[in-house]
Amino acid sequence: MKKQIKITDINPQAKSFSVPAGYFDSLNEKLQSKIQDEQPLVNLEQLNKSLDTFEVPEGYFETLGSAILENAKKTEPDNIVSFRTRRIKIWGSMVAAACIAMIIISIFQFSNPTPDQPEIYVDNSIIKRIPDHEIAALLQDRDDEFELTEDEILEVIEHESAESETSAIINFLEEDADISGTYQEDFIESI
Amino acid sequence: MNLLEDEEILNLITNPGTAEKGFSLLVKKYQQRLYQQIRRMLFTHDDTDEVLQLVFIKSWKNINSFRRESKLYTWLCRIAINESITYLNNRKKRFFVSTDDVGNSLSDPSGQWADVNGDIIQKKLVMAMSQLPDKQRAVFNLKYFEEMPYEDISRITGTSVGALKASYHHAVQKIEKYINEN
Repeated sequence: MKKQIKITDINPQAKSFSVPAGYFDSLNEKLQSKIQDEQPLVNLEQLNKSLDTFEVPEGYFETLGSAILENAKKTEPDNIVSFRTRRIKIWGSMVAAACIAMIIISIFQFSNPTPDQPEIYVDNSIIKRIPDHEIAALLQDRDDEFELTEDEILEVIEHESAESETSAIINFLEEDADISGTYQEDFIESI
Repeated sequence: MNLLEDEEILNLITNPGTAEKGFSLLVKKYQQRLYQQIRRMLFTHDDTDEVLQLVFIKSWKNINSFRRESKLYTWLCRIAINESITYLNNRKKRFFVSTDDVGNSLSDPSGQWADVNGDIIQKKLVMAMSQLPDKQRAVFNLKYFEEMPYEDISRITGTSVGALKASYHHAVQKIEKYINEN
């Protein structure tokens, strides 16, 4: 019969597992490092707030009061502009700008008026019938481009509608060049 | 030197015969506290000097408009905060610098924070503060350093108490995160 092993038979001092060499030698160091890593985060409430945040140049405060008083006497009083006054000023400026713009526009329009251009009917058919070389000669010879020679007048008139007035004009022009004042008067009265 | 009570200082200032004496006493009483507060907003001594003088000059000119409903220091703080924020805004416009750029440019640890008292944590605290938006930094300064009640901060900044609490909470989170990550 096999002998029953009891717990009391086992040596409690015997090590159950083998341990890597040097493990315990470095354990303490590892633990200290981990404790430092797990330090609580900086809490602002723990900082020393009674300390002046910034250093101040030596002697600065000793002369500050007198310097300020001097500057205070030199500077002009503040212009306290209320919000309402400021609003009125803004609206006033806008109205003034609008008035000036209207005045400028009005001046511009009046100084460059669009003239009433009468409807001018120009019968281009007459001009087209006049040969180009004759127009050119006319322009070269005549100082007054509005003054036409007899032939030119005849040519223009021939192409106009044949009316009694035009016939009278043609007849008048074909008569003797001795045009006296009487003929002229008769001509004018006849038209 | 015994510092006079606010009421005594105000009585001296409002009396034409003793106005200058009263004003000198006002400056001596609050110069250091206001200096630190403004410098926590602006960070450099020269800028702080300019704004600090401006604050006292404004208080001198407008002392008669102080209604004595709040503490004198609360009134001075209001002027200081407004002038500091105005100064920062004008500086940004002048140099075409965005808010983020100003914060980043101020956080250079190469020597910018040489005047900061305390250990490295204190320096990191100031560097973290420079990253905050101007108004949030003002709220943080008043609550954290001055330990001012939210009601007084509300009078200074014109912001509701609820908004101030949220702003301060976010500021603390940002600062603690900055300190612990850097």
